[in-house]
Order: sequence, then structure tokens, then C-alpha cells
Amino acid sequence: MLLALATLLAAFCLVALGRGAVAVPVGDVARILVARLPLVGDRLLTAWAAGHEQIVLVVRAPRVVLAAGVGATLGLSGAAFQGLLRNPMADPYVIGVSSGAALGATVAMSLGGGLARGLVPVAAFGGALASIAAVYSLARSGGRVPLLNLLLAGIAVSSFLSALVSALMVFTHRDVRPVLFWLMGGFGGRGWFHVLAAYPYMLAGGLVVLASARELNALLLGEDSARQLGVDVERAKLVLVGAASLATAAAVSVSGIIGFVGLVVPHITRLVVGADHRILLPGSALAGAALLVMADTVARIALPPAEIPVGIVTALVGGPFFLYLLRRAHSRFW
Amino acid sequence: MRKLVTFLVALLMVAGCRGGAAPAGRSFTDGAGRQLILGEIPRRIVSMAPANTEILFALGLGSRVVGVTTWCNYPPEAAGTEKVGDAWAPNYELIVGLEPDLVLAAGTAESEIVTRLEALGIPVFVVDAPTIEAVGQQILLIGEVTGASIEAGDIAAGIGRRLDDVRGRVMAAGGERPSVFWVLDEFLWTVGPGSFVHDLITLAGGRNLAEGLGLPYAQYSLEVLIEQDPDVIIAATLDPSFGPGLADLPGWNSLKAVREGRVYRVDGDLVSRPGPRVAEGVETVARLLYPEIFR
Repeated sequence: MLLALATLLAAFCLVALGRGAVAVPVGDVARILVARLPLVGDRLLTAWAAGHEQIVLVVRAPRVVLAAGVGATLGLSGAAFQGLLRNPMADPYVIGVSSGAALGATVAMSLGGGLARGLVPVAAFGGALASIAAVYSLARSGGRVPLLNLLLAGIAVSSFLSALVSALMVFTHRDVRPVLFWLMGGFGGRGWFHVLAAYPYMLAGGLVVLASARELNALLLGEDSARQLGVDVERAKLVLVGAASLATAAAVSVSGIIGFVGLVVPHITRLVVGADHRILLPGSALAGAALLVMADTVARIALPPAEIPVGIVTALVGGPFFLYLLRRAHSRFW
Repeated sequence: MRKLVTFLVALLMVAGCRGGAAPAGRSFTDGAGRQLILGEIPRRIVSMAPANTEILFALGLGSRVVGVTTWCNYPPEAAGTEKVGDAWAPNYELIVGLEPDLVLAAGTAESEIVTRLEALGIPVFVVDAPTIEAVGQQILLIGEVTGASIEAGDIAAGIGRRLDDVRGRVMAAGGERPSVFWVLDEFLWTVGPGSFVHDLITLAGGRNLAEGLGLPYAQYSLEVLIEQDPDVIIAATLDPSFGPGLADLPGWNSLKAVREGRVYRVDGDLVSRPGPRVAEGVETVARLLYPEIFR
């Protein structure tokens, strides 16, 4: 099953590289990419338009790679939060990563100035981590972090931060379109810089989450049962929340707030592969990556030369597909 | 039967008014084609669009403007006038409190601000200039309704002359028109056909790179921008933080306009407002496109 998902992801990536608002012949795309490989590349004739090389290597490729990484992170973190909180409504943003990031980004954009503009991803990342730290310490009581506290503290902090974002947009009297656009999320204009900046955190956080599959399976039975099975529950919570949030914070800081993927991809994957986190976690990562790569391709080519926000595509395509699976599943899916 | 007679008499009276016999009301048709009857020349005017504010001040009516939007920053005197929100979020309490005898709104007859203010019994005059050509016409209309027809005529004629001059010089320049990418932010929002700025670019002798865009405003594909490689890029903003954001875009520095130093910044207000400075806006853009012709 995982193999099938990986194949699907690879296929989507190839389509994404081959298709765009500018029609680059598929043969040229292949040659441009192969020419970059060591040894083989030197034997190839460079017979394509220079602009096309620019488009494939500098504009399109980093977008595809970034969409895959962000999609994988959102799918994986969503599955982790749903499992940890034992709540089907949970998603990677449920305990405040996105609103913290939004506040950081909005502050940077409201300050104006070239330096602040360039710092938007950094500010978003910092805001996300700060809000998670705040939620986690607010939820702590007597050396433990009850999951319900975590959820409620997350919701309260999220609302508070969102209000601050709205207030900034109302009171700073700048053009609010950049902020709105950032909030909607997307990969337009992202390059290798963003890939290099976000991937280390997404990979590190993602690997830690993947390694916690056994703890998540145990936690599904309830905290007491997990403890009896020898799981250090409090430590597992801290590790999972920390790792999933770190990865999500990095994803959000380079892509804005892309909704829906982190909520629905784990459900879709669970319907297909079952609830065992050893398969569910990597499955959600692969499915999230495939969905977002596909959605971003649609966003790029649906309405040329215009682009549409990728969040619109994920919800428009993913929503009906999810409902279809839900109807077909007949039995209880959660 | 008596009702019918009353109705007919009323009808005759209305017809009489239309004939110009009524001393109390002067009838106007606004930019949206609505009929408006005003008793006297308006003395307390609220402007709900920056372009309207600029027109009123240019007509020498600044002292009669009692309320403007938060975006009205020109001329500088206008900034000191009481703010009543903006076209999307007007503060109706403040507007009513100013007791205006005329509100100049931008939009259409169906715009919420028009219907709401009408319901409050405040006369609303809609100004609508979607193209450069329509600006002079709207200035004349505003001059008429405010009793400043002569000044309006002068301003409209001046704009017409300056636009004709630009047209003539561009025509004389001949050759292929430079392609222009008009950029509003680092997300590559741009203007397409149907927008005021598209019209302005065309009049200034440029060919809008986004002429194939099916929408007046949209986010442009970076791939397509690199493929089309425009001659000139114009960023319509005064926000200095704008440049770095664009330069960070992948592939940006390989664009011809960037390499040749033909990326310019213009005052977004100057080029997007259908007001008395419209000719100045067109000339500014024309100077950037044809530096050797417009000095």
C-alpha cells in the first residue's frame, strides 16, 4: 500500500514538473533534469531554450519539492495530532501553530521596510513556536499535560492570536492584500531558498513523529493503558507535540496556512490502510505530499496566465473525494 | 374615481417639473444613470472615494468638503478633513452626523453605500470612471452638480489636451510598443483588461503583458512572466519594502527588464485614481516607456 502511494506521489511529481502555465516540451523537461545529473549530464546536448531551463529548474522544481514536503508534513502532523488527542477534528493547526505563525507574519508585514518583508518566514516560524510553547505551558497542571487542557488552551490561544491578526490588519492601514494572501497559503514565487530553509525542520520533526508510531498506537487505548504497556506518556506527549509542531511551523512559515490537507488526509489514509500508526503515519505523509503536489499543479495550470490560491484547490478537490470515501466506507471510520 | 383623478393631477405636476417649470429642484443624471434632484448647490459634501476628493479640491470646493475616506491623502489639505471610513466600511453614523447635502460615492447604483444612504434620505451622486476617457466626463458631471461647471470644463479640457499630446507622441514614435509587466506586490498580482490601469498602460503607449488575463486583477504566473520576458516592469507602490520582495523571487534577476535596469516604481495613487491627476499619471508612465521622447 505504501509502495502504491509512493508511486502515485512520484507520478504526480513528474506531471507537476512537466506541466505548467508555460508549455515546455516533455522531452526538454526530461533533458533539462537529466543534464543536472553527474556523469550522464555531460553527454547531453543542451538544445533547449534558456528561458525554459530557468522555468523548470528555478521556478517549477523547487515548487514541486516544497509542495511535497509541506504536504507530507501536514498529513503526518495531522495524523499525529488526531492520534495523540484521540480527536477526529484535530489537525496540525489545532493547538495554535497556524495562528502564531499568522501573527508573526502579519507583524513583519505591518512593520514594512525591506528587512521586515524578508523576515516574514522567520517571524512566522518564531510566532508558531512561541504560541506552541505558550499553549503547552498553559495546559500543564501538576507536572502533567491533560490532553483536553492542551486542546482547549490551543483553541483559546488561537482565537486570541487571530483577533490580534485582525486588529493589526484593521489598524495598520497598509495594503491588507499581502496579509490575506499569506493567510490563504500557496507556493507562488517560492524557490530553492525556501526548500533549504524549511526541509531540515520538516525532516527532523517528521522523522521523530514517524519513530513514535508505537507510542501513538498505545495511546489510542487511553493514557492509563498506555502507561501499563510501559509508555512514558508525558514524555511521549512532549516529544510528539514538539516534533509535529516544529515540522508544521517550518511548513507554515514557507507556505502560509494551507487548510484541509492536515485534517482530511489522515482520514482518507485511515480509510485505506487502517488505524495502525506504523502504516498510517508514513501513509499520511505520502498521501499529503501527493495531494498537495497535485493541487499546486492545478493551481498553476487551471487559469493561465493567472494563478489561483492552492487552498481553494485542496478543499475543492479533497472535500468531495473525502465524502465519496466516507459514503463508501459504510462502517464506522473513526 | 377620485383616486384616479388625484393620480392624474400628480402625474401632470411631475411632468411639469420635468419641463423645468419647478423652481425648487434641479435634476441631474449621475455616473450610474440615476436621476437626482437637488434643491440648492450643495454646501456640505462627503466624498467616499479618493478620486472624488481630488476632483472636489481641484474644483476649488475644498472648503465645502466636510467628510472624506481614510484613504484620501491628496491634496494634503484633504488629509485634515474628517474621516468617515472608506467605501467598503463606511461609518454611517459619522456620515449622517455631518449632515451632508450631497455624498459623492464611487461604484454603481446597486452599491450598498448608495442604497443605505438613500434610505437615510441623503442625496447620493454616483461617480463611475472605469476608463481614462470617462474621467473628464465624470469631472464635468461633478462640476455640474456642485455648481462649478466652468472650473470643471477647464480641468477636463486640460486633461484631454495632455492625453492627446501623449497619444500623438506615442503614435509618432512608431515601432513596436514596449511590453509592460505591472506588478502590485511580491505575490505578482497584476492588472488585466477591464481594469483602469490596463487602460492607462495602453494609452501611455505600452502593451500590457497581462493582456491575456481573463480578469481585471489576478496573481500572475511566474513561469509565464519569465517566458514572456517584458521590456519594462512597473511596480505601482511607494512602499520601499517592495523591491527586496520581488528580487527574492526565483528567476527574477534573469529577467531582461531587471538586467537592463528597466524596473521602475511609480506612486500607486497617482496611476490608479480616476481623478484630476490622471493625465499626470499617464505622462509618468509614458516617460518611463519612452524616455527619449518624453523628457
